[in-house]
Amino acid sequence: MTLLHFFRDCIAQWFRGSWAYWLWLTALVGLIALGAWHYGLQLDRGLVVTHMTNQVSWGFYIANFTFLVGVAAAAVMIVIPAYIFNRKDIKDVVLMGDTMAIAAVVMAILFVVVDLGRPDRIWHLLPGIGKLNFPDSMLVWDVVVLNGYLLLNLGISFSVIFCRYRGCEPRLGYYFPFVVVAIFWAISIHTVTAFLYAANTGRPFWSNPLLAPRFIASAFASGPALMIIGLQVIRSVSGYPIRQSVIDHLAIVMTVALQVTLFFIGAELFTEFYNEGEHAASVRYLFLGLNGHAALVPWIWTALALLGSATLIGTIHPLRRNPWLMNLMCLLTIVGVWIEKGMGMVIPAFVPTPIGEIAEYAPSLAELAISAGVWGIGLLIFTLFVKSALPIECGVLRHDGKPKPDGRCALPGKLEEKPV
Amino acid sequence: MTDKADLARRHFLKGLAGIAGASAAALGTPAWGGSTFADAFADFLQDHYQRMTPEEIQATLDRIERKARRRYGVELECRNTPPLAGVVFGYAINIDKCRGYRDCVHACVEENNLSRDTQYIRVVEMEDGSTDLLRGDHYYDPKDVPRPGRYYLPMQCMQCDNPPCVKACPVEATWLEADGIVVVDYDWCIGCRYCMAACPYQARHFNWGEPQLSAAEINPVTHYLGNRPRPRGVVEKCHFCLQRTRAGRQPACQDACPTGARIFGNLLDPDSEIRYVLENKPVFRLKEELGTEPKFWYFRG
Amino acid sequence: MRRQGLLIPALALLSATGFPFAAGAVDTSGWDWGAVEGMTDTPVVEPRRDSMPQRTTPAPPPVAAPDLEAPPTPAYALFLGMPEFEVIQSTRDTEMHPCGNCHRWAESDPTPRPLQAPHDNFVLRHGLHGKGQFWCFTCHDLAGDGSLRTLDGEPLGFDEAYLLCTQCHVDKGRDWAFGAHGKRADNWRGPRRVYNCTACHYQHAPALLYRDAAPGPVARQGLERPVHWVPKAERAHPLFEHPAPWQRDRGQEPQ
Repeated sequence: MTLLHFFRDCIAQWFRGSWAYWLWLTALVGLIALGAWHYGLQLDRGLVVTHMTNQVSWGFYIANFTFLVGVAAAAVMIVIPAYIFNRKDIKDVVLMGDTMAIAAVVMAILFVVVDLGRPDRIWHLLPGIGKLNFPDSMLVWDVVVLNGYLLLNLGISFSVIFCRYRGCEPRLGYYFPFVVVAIFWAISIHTVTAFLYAANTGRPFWSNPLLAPRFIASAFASGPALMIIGLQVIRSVSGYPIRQSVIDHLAIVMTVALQVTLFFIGAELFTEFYNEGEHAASVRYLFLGLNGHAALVPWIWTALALLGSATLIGTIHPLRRNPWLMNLMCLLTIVGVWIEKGMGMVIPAFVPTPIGEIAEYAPSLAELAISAGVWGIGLLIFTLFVKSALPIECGVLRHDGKPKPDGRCALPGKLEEKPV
Repeated sequence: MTDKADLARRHFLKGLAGIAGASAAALGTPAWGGSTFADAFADFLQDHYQRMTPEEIQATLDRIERKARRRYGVELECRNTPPLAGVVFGYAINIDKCRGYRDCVHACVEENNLSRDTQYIRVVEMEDGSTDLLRGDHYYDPKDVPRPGRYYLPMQCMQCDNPPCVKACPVEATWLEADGIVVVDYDWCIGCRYCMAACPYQARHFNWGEPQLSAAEINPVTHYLGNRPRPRGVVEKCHFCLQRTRAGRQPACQDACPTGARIFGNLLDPDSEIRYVLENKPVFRLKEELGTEPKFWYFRG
Repeated sequence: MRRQGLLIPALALLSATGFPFAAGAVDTSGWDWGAVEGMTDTPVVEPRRDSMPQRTTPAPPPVAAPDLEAPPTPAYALFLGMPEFEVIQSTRDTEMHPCGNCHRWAESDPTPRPLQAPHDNFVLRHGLHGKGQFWCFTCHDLAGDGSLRTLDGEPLGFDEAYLLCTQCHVDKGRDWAFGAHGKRADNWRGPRRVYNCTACHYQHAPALLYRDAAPGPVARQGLERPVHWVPKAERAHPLFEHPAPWQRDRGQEPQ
């Protein structure tokens, strides 16, 4: 019964908000509708509506999927300081981190679903009634760990927020084991995704040991960047107390991750180009163009410039502490990593094909629209979850109807923060 | 998978199918993309080829024939010939003899009911003195073939003994059969295309849209794992014409080659032509260093 | 080119010494080479690497003349003990050359010579060996209806052309018997039906002809091929375009 009330109250929160909130929701729903309409086209006519070919058989969908799995894994950068190092300020936002992970994993799974040629046969992946190629297929591992991570995060977040809704304080000893599992699981989802690519020995662009470390490094740059922006939005539109120290912590994590990412990219460039052989054909296509085909060259150099600038801002302390520059750094990181790990990682492995054919790829309108729709779904999930969670976290929304605000929040106004 | 779980799953699927069948008995009109509701529902619930009972397989074959009749107006025969005992197929191409005609490519398209925008075989024009596939030309169209200073490498599925695509498939929709052919269950494939990323020979092809196939072009002698008309959204590839080879016939590409550059046969038969070639000619395989163990050789002489 | 350059003088040398090309040997010293349309040398492409080792030792001497006193090997001995096969009958040969129409009643002149009308439209282009080494009656039976004969004079049917060809092309004959050469029709197991040599190689001018290739790869439905797949360089990026090490023409750039 309490559960039903919980859901009823949570859903009721979704319909209360300022005009800005409703505008945001309208925009998201519009994006989702656009994506849904194009997905209807794709269901009707098949994947011909995309520009993928037999030569480049994975494209924009899988590029976004890769980026989002990284974002999901990066929630661990909030969970570790919150629970392992017991930082109180970060503990306040750990639910936001979990919510971001949930939204990112849902988006990742959706991107795989929209990429399938036969989504009606998705039940073939269900253990028991389907037929799972476990443990050989890395894609099965990816499905298992992604769904497991989703369940873990849903479970942990739900148990914490439901407990608070009922007025009790969640018992650390009860859910701490799950948190530890979630920490390792988060690293594993992105490692398994990297292994999915690295397993293909016929594609030397992917099949190198540095792919998994690169994935983790760029994930720990892009995830916190998104988190910083999300947290600042939450802080400004609600009164939820997010200390500046949280933002600083995330910014430092991001900076180190960016430095490591740049180092990894440099190591890769040296290894490929010093004694350039044919295994470097894909890298050459990406950075310099191959036989006159150079569609991705401006993109990757832009991404490197963005990441380099972001690293510079992050490394120089005064620059990083400037809120405008820090937000710029986040934006640069998100776009840079999205290019470098998305299209810049997925497409070049298909160009040239393993038997030497060059066929370029650029996403079609349908792909862009469907991808926008999926991003809209993820952002909507994040918005609605946070919308319900904030009042509960602040003690305003309780099951017994007796709000017990703990003074930290000042809803609906803003809280003056004392920077730590 | 335990027998109990197997049985439970079978009962579950059968139950669903039973409900569907009972409720759809009156709805026999072909409205579901050319199928009746009953057929469409049975399609949806169809089990994996390796788990179906002989009766279920026969029902599936009948359904395929009905669909072909409705869709193309063609009386199709869909068989399920099992692999021959004591047979493992191998293929060898004499690159001294291949002149780049591409007759094999088009014979395959016709024999295997390929969508006209798909070709299982790709002939690569290589430069003499080089085995560099990156310098190969896939789109050669000279006035005369063979071009001087060039040789030709026809490439198709290598039917690897250690196939990376089989390892990659998440739902085991592709597997290595006892006679050495790597086959695809087109009704089980979910279209994730991971196998296409895994294949080092670019041998697997995807049906991005509805197969471009007209009724007049259909070859009515088909096999469930071979050349029966495929649906949209699934992966397919060369299957050594198993509708022909399991009946003792040569594959269509070998049949079409005017120069006799293609040698096909049973690797386990010491008197076969393919064994003679492997034992007496300088043979090589492509990308052997990847450990895929292809059963497709090239030789000179 | 180097190899061919050696071969013609060597053959000329051999023929001058009366190299016994079995019973069909002819004295070609009086022949007008210009009158017989010869097959031009197949163009040989020079290897691209100019690091080919130069010959520093003299070429090995030509093969010694065979022992004329030894009994000749029967043409079919090559195929003893080889897998069974059945040759697919070809009707092309007799249809193309109805020699018997005239030579059933007309006398055949056995003298090797450049042919005049009504045969001047017919030339024997049987490779380098054919140019003066043998002519019609090396392979065809003078006395009979124009059917074939071995070098020993044994008669052969047209379906046994493989016996004739493999008298000289022994390695190819062995390969053909075992299936590495030629083409097996219909089935890969069971009775072996193979095509005769003449099914592919027109016996009087065996060099294979050129023809157009069938159309190449097609673009996926819904995509235009030129937009994405132009194989030639189309959009060179001025800042970064330079050939990769393996794309530089090794013949021109000194390394």
